[in-house]
Amino acid sequence: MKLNKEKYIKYELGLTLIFFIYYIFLTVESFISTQNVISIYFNVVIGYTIAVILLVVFLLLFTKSNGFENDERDSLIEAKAYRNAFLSIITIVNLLLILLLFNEAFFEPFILFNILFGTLFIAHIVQSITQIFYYKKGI
Amino acid sequence: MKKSVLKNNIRKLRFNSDEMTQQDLANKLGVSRQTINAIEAGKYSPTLELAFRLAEVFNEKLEDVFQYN
Repeated sequence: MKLNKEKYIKYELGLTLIFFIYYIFLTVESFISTQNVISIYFNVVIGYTIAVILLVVFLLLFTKSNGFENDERDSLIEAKAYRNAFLSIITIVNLLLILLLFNEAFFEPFILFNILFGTLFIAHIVQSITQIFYYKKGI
Repeated sequence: MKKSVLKNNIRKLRFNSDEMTQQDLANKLGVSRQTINAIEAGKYSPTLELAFRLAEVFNEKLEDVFQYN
């Protein structure tokens, strides 16, 4: 039996949102504490990677599956989701470039790093939401 | 989203083929049951290759399985 991708994406989206909120919390906290950007990055990235691996293992064991379903419809939905994720990255990076032109405060490495890192999270959330949308509404 | 104009008789053909389930059809075609369900509901237009394979499973012509209007 193969694991349904739609189900997995829903769980993964939940996990991503939890880690995104955790990341925002750490970033806001770092303004008042001495915690540096590198430790935030490693906390979030390593934590998220481990959480996703555990989620996949748990789902495969719990549903007694031997892999993910991936047919032509899944591939098409995935392609559309990657397109939207890419568009969201391009949009945010362009906005950032415009902001950099008019406001020197954005040249601060801490701010730049957090905006770019947050962009990756947002792109992943956009990707998951796109996939769920197309699975529900049809393509 | 643009409304699908591709109609199909898959449900009827399944019923006429000893009440074949969506899962049985999916197994024969190597796709997921959700994909068969989406095609039947008009939520997904299959590729030409899958459409031909679908017609082959039911021993029908492509135009007897799918209609475009």
